[in-house]
Amino acid sequence: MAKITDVNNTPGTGAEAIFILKELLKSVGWTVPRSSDGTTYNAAGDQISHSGAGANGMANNHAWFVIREPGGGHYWCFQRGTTNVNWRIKISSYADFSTGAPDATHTAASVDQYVIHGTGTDAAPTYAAIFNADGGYRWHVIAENAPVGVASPIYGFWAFATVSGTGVRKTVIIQEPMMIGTFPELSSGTRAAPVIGDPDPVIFLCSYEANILTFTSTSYGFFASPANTRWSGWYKFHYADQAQVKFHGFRPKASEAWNSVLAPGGMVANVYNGADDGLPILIARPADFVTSIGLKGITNNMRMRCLTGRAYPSTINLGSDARVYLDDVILPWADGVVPTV
Amino acid sequence: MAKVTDVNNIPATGAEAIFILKELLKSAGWTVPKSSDGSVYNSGGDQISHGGSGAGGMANSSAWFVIREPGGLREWCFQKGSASHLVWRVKVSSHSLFVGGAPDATHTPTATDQQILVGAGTDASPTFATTFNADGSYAWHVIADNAPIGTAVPSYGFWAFSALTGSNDVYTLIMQEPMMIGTFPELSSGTRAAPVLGDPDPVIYMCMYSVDSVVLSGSNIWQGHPPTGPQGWYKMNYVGGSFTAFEGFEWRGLYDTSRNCGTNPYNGADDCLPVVIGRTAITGAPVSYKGICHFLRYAAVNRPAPGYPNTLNLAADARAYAQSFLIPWENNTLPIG
Repeated sequence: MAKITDVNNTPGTGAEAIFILKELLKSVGWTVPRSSDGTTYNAAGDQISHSGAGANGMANNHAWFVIREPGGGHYWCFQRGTTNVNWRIKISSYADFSTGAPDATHTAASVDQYVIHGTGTDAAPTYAAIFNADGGYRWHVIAENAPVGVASPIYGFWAFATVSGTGVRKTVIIQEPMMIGTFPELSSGTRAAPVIGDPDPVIFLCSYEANILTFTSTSYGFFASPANTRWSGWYKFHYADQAQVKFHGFRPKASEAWNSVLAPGGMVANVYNGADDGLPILIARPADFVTSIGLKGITNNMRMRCLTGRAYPSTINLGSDARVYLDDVILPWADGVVPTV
Repeated sequence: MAKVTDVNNIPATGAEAIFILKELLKSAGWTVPKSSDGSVYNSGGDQISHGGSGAGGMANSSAWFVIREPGGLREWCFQKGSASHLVWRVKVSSHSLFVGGAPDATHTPTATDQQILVGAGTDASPTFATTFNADGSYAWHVIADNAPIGTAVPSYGFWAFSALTGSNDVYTLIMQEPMMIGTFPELSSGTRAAPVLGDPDPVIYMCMYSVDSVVLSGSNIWQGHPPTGPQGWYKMNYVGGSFTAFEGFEWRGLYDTSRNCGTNPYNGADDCLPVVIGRTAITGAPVSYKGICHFLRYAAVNRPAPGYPNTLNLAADARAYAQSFLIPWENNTLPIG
């Protein structure tokens, strides 16, 4: 397993950022089964060969592509709106975006699709801002070229933007596998007809909002209200009571009685090696979600920071197993590459 | 690696309970290098052969023994108090071992790094503290692992606990819990005596008697302020090292705890969640992260207190509930209660 990375970019537009993401994912084995440059629909491949406007460009109104995980477990669909800032993004965890009425300006549909960013329908899509103003940010993409798990292999990837000059985090797009051993792996049945185990042990994030990577705010992040949290995934995918749901992240805390929080931010550097211990994040839907209650698992790659005063562009283990701080979490990063502010 | 167990005992006295613990640990490879039945000091072995009173008995005033971990890294020392079987003084040595002092029939040896887990006073003038409920009023369970966790600093886990007859409340809890490999910096440079890099004692110790011994809510040993339950070394044998109390942390969201996640939606089981060990600035200095427990778990289901005698994975990898905690348990044996 290796990280493939393309970091410290300064894309001229949001279209260029998404194009960079597409190309990086293709370089680790993802494929584009259908797409459109906004004028020409390609039912069998990648119609988009550059990030600009015009023929084969990503920066055209309603240009779109579906990108397929190696092995075909997951599909993402990105469609540009009428500006480079606004996009509509969908995920399919099993079906393959092979239905609907795709054409040059309308995306394909999938029976299990859900819209993770933007709204509307495939016939009448509504786009939402996912990027800062063009040219004002750095763009970083990291992906694993091997899956986590065998029964339901999941390929993790992480893309995020930081404002040029300040390093403030903005756009985040993540596919984060759950750690093997922290959830019941699919052990009976298939992903299409599971009997025992989680056929989709992964969570997704696609957001541009504040606090999505914090444990301190009730807006959008790990501690957001059930309606507001942006972390999403499947509860019992393909079981009779399946639901596409949101999740909370949990941190190690001693009690409600006093605020003895070990992480994020409650520790000093490890007393033995001076490192940030970087604890995993427990993902679940507790009782206050009312429905679809249960543990999802523990994050495989993403960690929560233990130290205070660390933020982008701080890194850990830069030489060999690099991680970068981003708000309250620590994400995989390009080995040996200093993050650019 | 296998669990060695002796569970579902109803000991007549606290002395019998500690004798059961001693015998179980010996069957898992621990040894007794010195001891006394309260009358005869044995400087080279185990003088205690039964849980009662009289010659060779554990139930005599001031009887004591030292028990050494396989590999010889750690020793515990148990001494019974006066006539009562309920009061004990319990010490642990993580490195130096109990080779000093002036041991005799009624006085324990000393280790330069010894720490008193229960009781107080000095070895010359010990004071004892209640460690058990009234004689004959509880079930007593001992579980030990016969193989170590880790190679740089091999650490053997064991757990002994009581459950009060009738209420099933867990009161006495004695344990040595290793930290999970990969969750702390292993000793990679230097020695345990002179460490340079890494934790030379990645375990926590506990010897408690409280109705709150294993509760995860309210102010108690896991969340005491300062904590009074799990203890261990902060930087043992480094400059500035100290033996200190640690907190156990559970996973909490803003609105809810992970104990309210219900059974796993895919297999119907209670998820076993890891227990993080550390000290925050609110706990007080020395602030540090110790690691994550290797064996001890807590449940993602808020089982009604006392939890015991519920079990999990009874057939293959049994765990018993003690309040919200899951302690290794004897496979295929239902806890009495």
